[in-house]
Parts: sequence; structure tokens; C-alpha cells
Amino acid sequence: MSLLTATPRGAPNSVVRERLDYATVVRQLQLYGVWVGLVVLVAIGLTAHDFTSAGNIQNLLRAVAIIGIAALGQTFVIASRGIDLSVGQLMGLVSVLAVGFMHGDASLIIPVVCVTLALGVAVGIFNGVAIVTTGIHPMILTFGMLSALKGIIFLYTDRTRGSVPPVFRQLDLGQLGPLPWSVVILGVGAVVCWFVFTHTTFGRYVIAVGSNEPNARKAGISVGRIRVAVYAISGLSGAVAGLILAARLGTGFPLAGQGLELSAIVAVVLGGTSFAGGRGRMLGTVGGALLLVLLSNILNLKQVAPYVQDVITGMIVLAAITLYTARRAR
Amino acid sequence: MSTAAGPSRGLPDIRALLAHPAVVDNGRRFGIWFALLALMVVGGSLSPAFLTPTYLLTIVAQASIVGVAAIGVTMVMITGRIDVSVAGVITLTGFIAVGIMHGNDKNIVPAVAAVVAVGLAVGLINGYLIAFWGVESFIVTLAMGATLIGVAELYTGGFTFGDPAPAFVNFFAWRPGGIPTLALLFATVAGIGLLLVRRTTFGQRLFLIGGNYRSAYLSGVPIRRTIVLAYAAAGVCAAIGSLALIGFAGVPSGFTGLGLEFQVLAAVVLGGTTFEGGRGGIAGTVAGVLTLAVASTLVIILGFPFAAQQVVTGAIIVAVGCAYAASLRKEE
Repeated sequence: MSLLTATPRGAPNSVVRERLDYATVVRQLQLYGVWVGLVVLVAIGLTAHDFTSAGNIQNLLRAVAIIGIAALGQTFVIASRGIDLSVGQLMGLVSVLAVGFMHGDASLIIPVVCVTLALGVAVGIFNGVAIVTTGIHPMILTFGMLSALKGIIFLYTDRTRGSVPPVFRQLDLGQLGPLPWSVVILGVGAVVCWFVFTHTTFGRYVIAVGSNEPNARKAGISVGRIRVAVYAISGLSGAVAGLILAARLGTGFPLAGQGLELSAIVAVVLGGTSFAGGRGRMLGTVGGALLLVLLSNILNLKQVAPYVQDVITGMIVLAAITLYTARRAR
Repeated sequence: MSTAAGPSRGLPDIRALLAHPAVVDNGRRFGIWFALLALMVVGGSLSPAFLTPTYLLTIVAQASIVGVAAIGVTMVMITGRIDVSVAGVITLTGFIAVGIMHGNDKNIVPAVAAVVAVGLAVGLINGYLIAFWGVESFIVTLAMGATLIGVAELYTGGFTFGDPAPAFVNFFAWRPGGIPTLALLFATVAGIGLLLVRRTTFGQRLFLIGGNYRSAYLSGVPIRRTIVLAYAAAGVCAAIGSLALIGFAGVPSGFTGLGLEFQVLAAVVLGGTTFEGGRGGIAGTVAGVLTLAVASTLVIILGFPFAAQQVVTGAIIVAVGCAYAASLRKEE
């Protein structure tokens, strides 16, 4: 109720007041809607057979890890008013290369991990530098990168190739207590990203750049460096997600990363990060990823045909996004 | 000796020349045509068959699917908005067309009517949500595209489905006077688009909305209606694109539309229409479409695998996009 009676600023007129209250509701929904959605989905899930079985919950968590980690990096980018479409194919490239190079040899794990993480950062830095130096729209640049990376994947292999050493599969199968390692990585990553985003100067600068770039520049923030940094973070998180993808699949599949960038972006937006920049919700992003995965899990458990699932998922995302990004038309 | 002195003396002059406003402006406006010309010269030097009218027209016919769809998207992008639901529209309407035709010539007219109606409806919904509700256009059209592909799968049950009418396929295989009908279709849609954008109030409003939203609002431009109309045009163009696709490929499959929206975007942006809006036009888009088509043909002529085509397309988008953006930045 307090939500509806929030003090309207300078609005004696009841009509204006109503509008302001509407805006407040929408805003609150944007910030907390993802958690409401999760509660609703869990409630629906509880009616499904096997939803609470240990196997299903493990399965859910493993799926969240991959989208969630990629979405964490994407949150920095979107909060700075950018977008990184290349991250899905980057994940695909990293997983294919990692599996191809390791080829079942456990002694190669450390060098391959280092090289692929460096590759992710390098792709991110390239994106950032190109965007900053030329002023190209990030959507076009990262789309170009998406096409190029996809081509590189298929130049490397056009079929399933290689296998990971059994030790590496522990990244997905191994557990720390009840949690798979990949989820532990997501948890640590989320806490680190949340801390960096809300409690460091860098995080403040990202928000400043996203909400008002000219002012950020006037305030002495080196906007270019911040932008390069957010794309580098996105590249790094994409590479980590790609390695987990490799561990999960156990082999290199060239189409593995297809469309994952869109899942990551939707997770970020559902989590309450503004597409217009200047506002980010790191933990909301994790919630958004969980929401997407829960939705498909429940539809699977309820034995909804995959085609119907696509329609339902699409419509729910459409409705949620409409609600989230709708503003009073100017 | 003189050759060594030449470049060092000439270099500053070239730079000054390149920075000249007239050069920058014309470079931006006609640069893509030069790129197209350069690619064609490369193609001609690689293979004598490349510059024959038959071969070039075949490339145009092949490009017509992306090209027709890109005409509508250009109008949307001039207003500073975006439409990535094109692939979804093409996939769904493609299946609807062959589903209704069912291999019977009598069904062509209802099939075409249904396809155009669905494209129009999708465009109107997109436009309504974006213009009246103020929803972020990228996300809403993205979700719309995904939903439409789901609807298409639902409609077909995931199987190969339907059958284009023989007369329909024959019409698009026809080459009156050596010119493929697909190329004629592309030229017709592009011509109508060019007239709409250059010669009508609607076209002027597109530029006003994209160039300066506030002054468009203050001068009483019907902003919402114009945006809805632009999206409707994009939906109809995508639907016509799907007809071209069936005419070209025969039977659609679930993957035919996949990734087309990005090819369309790439073509529009290469043609000089920016994401920020207020710039560009149909002629540039046509050049962008042809450039991408010629580039992918060249990659195949050079004997590279299909995957290399993707790398080259990506590199072209990055290079040309960066060049445009840098030239615009210099101006500020």
C-alpha cells in the first residue's frame, strides 16, 4: 500500500497525482517484478510432478549458471547504455576451441583456460575500443563481431568435435556441498559484480556514463576507458560461460552459443536494468536468468510441446518487456 | 629519388583533402556506391563471367529477399527506431503462403493476400506498442520475432510443409527480356519506397522524427501515427520478402528466415541510415544490399568455404560502420 501512496512530488492536482502513482507502481515493478515472477513460477512449479526432486533442481541450477554468468557481464554493458550481441557466439567459440585444444588431455586444462579467457577479454577490448574510437553504434559493431565469430567457429569446425578431459567435466558435474561448481562460480561472480557495481568508484562511473555521457565527461570521468572496461568484462564473463558450456556439453558443438546473447539480454532487462542505461541491478540479473530457466523447466515438466513453449516464452517475454520498458509516451 | 620525396610531400595534402567537408559529405553519401564499384571491379578481374548482365542480374535476384525487407526497415530506422522482427515475419508468412497455396494455382491470390495481411498486422502491433506505449523498439521487435517463429513452428508442427503453386514458382523463374522477375520486384518495391521517402509528407515526417523529435513534436507532426505507418510498411515489406523467398527457393524451412534480420540491418546501416535516425534513405539501402550480396558472391568465387562468407560479412559491417561513425563524429 505504501507503494501506492508514495508522496507525489509537487503535484496537488489529483490527475497528475494518479499518473505519478502509476509511474511509481511501474518503477517498483521494474525493480522487484522479477522476484514476484519467480515466486509465481515456483508456485506453479510446485504443482508439477518432480519439480522439487534433487535431480530437477540440480538441472535448473546448472542451466542458470551459463546464462547467468554471461548476463552478469552484459549488465555492466547495458547499464553503461551499450549492448553486447557478440557474447553468445563468443561463448560458442570459446567452448569449441577449449574442447578442440584440450582433446581429452587433462594437462592442457590450465593453459587452455588461460588462453580462452584471454581471448574473451581481447574480443571485449576490441569491441570497446572500436566503439569508443569511432562512435559506431554498439549494436552494429557487436553484431558484426557476432557474424565474424560465427564464421570463425565454422571455419574451425562444422561438426561436433573433440572431448573434454573427465576432470574438466567436474566444472559441471562436480559439487561443492549441494551446489554444482558452475553455480558456485555464478554465486561468487554475482557477489563480486554486485560489489564492484554498487560499492566501487568504477561502478558509479559506469552508471554515470550510462545515464548522461556528456555530464560524465565534464565531471572528469574518462568515458572511453569505462566503456572499454565494460566490454572487456562482458568478454571475460562470456569466456567463463563458454568454458562451463564446454564442460556441460563435454564436446565442442559449433551451434552451442546460438541465441544465448538474447537470453542474457532478456535476463538483464527482466532483472530491472534499464535498457536506456544509468540503472543496473546485478542480483536482479541473476533473478532474470533464473526466471527464464524456470519458465522453460516448468513448461518441460508440464509436458508442453516445444513449439508451444517457444510461443509461450516469446509472449511472456513480450508482455514483461512491454510492462518493463513502457514509459508514458511523450 | 623523386619517388621517395613524392609520398612525404603528398601525404599531408591527401589528409587535408580527406578532411574537406565536401569530401566527407560525399564520401558518406556515395561511399557505399564506390565500395560496390570496387567490389565489382575485383569480381570482374577474378572472373570474366562476373560482369556479364546475366550473372549480375542473378545476384540482384538473390539479393531481392533481403533487399525488399530492407526497404521497410529503412523507413523505421530513419525515425530512430529499429525492427528486428523481420526474420520472424518472413518465416511465418512463408509457411502461411505455401500452406494456403497447397500446390494449386487457384490459391495464389488468397495466399498473397493473407501473407500481406499478416505482415501488416505484425507491423501495426509493433508500431502500436512502440509509438503509443513507448516500449523500447529493439526488445519488443526481438520478442515479437521469437514469438512469430514459435507460431510458425506451431503452425507447421515442425515438418516440411505446404507446397508453392506451380504458376507462382514459374512466375519467379521467368526472365522477361533477360531480367529476372525477382529483380523487377526488388526494383519496384525500392522505387515505391524511394518515392514515399523522398516525395511525400510521410517521408519528410520520418526524417523529422528521427532528426529532431522535440521539434517534430512542437511543430505538430503526428508522431505516433507516422511511426505506426513506418512499422506497417516494414511488416508488409517483410511479407513481400517472404514471397520472394518462396519464389527463389521453392519451399521454406524453419531455418530460412534465421539471421535474416541482421543481414537486413547490416544492409540498411551500410547504406548510411544510422541507428540514431534522421539520416540515410532508400537509395543507400539498395547499394548496401547489393554490396553485401556481391561481397558474399566474391567470397564463394574465391573458393573460400561458406563460413568465410560470414567472417567477411562481419568484417565489412565493422569496417564500413566504423568509417561512417568516425566521419559523423568529425563533423560534430
